Amino acid sequence: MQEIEQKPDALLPLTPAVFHIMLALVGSDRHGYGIMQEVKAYTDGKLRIGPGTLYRSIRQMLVEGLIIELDERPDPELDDQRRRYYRLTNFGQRVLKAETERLEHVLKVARARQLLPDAKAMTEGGGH
Amino acid sequence: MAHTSKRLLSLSKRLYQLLLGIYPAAFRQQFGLQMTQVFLDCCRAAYEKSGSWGVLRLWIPTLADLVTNAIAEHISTLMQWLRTRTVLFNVQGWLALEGQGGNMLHITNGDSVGETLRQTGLPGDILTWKDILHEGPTPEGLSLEQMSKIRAQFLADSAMGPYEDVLAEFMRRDTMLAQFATHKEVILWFEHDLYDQLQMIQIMDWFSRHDRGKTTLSLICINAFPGIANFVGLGQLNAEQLRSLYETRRPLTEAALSLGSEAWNAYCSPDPKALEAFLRKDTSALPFLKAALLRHLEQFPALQGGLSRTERGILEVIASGVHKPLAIFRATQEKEESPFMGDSTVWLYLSILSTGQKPFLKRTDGGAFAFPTADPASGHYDRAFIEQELVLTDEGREALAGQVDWIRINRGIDRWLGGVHLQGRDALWRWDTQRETLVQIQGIA
Repeated sequence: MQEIEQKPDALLPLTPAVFHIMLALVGSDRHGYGIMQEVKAYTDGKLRIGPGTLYRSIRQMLVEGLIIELDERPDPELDDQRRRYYRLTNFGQRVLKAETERLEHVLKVARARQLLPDAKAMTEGGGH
Repeated sequence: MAHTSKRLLSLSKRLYQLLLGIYPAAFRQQFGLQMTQVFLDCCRAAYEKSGSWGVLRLWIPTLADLVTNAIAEHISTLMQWLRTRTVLFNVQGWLALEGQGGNMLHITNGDSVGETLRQTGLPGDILTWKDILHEGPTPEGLSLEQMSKIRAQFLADSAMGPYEDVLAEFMRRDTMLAQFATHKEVILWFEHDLYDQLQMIQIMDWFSRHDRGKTTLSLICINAFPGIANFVGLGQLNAEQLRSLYETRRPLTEAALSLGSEAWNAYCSPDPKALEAFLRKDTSALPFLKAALLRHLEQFPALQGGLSRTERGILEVIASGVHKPLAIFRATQEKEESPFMGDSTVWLYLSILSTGQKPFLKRTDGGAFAFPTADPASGHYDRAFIEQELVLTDEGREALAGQVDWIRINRGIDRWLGGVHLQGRDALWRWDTQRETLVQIQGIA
């Protein structure tokens, strides 16, 4: 299984849907609906991914080796066996980290240009 | 309420399934069921929260999601079609390639040939199959998806990479294959040896079970190339040589495809006699298949001594005075009419022969064979690996002399050869090297 080494940076920037799907999969395998619920929960309902966007993104992520589909289901007794679970690959984690670092840099630029309050000032002065 | 809920959900499901028809067929076949399932989950949640009104309200973003993604998917398919026409603005070149079927999917055996194919300038996508199907399980009756998961587990257990990485690579491969219908022509590039022939028949079996629509299948399969005295494989060819083969491709006939599928099913059968029965047929439509599959049968434990041809070859090479791993690999390849085994697979055999209750090999310092610690993908090996020397144990020497049986002395076997699981001490299939046939052994003591 020798393969040509992929560079995480080559896949950046990620689309918002791919980024959030990957973020939802950090530390936990999830099925499609579970991913949607997780994204909705941590964005306080501000971001909702529809089934079309979800599975087009999943197809792209499978092709790029960012995720794999699992055989086993984490909770087989409580779950519909037709559901398919997905897991972030090691390469997927590296890509997600690279994208997060890229966004962090963008955030720093925005703060330096006072578009956003300084993170340190927010911590120390409650945002004032 | 329950009745209204059930009816509304059932109606929504039917309408959603109907609307999925606007997606390209390949995408719908791959994800249609899951999308419907997720949509139904959303419907149930909306109903629980806001009743029928909630479900109706859900339809607004759902319709937008359906339509925008269907359009995007069609555009993506179109872009893929255009991408393969990289010489779009070179009218002469475009016409030439159009005549040759510019929108192509090239499927070949590994990254090395895949990389050279890229350098040929031939348009189209390249898919490398990359599976050592001559080792480990290929049980019968599985979908490609199920097979890939079993293969990934075997390769991970054989020190060929972490399970998730191997599986991700297979899924990427399988997903790309599932989109073959976006190509006008699929070209299979394979050579004559066992490694390639097994990949070729696995792919042929897959295509034989899928509606190919307007996509045509072509085959390039060679065992020699002009000017190359010792042809081993496509990996020896440069871009220009590989490019010249393109013109020699032939349409894959239904008869050849069917033969390939039959061969794959025989290979995956739990009864190895199915493969022998297949080999008694006329296989001339795939001229290199018979020799390759016969070589596979020689991997069954020999009636005398219990060693496969590869294992015996390794012991003979070491007995002749070759002791370091890379030299052993080269020497074993020279013993083959059509070398098919990569170095990583030979390391597996060295490991098997140097472990177990009664190893046939050992390092000169008494230990078992040590796998390379450096990343094999880098093409570099660590010094400790390169410099280790392997010698025969007393049992190894006795085995070569025909005095002991590898399986008997190690109290059994647990190995897959295609669809055949050789397991335990009884009912083993063995290869009779004299009569060149498989025989079933009962009750090894």
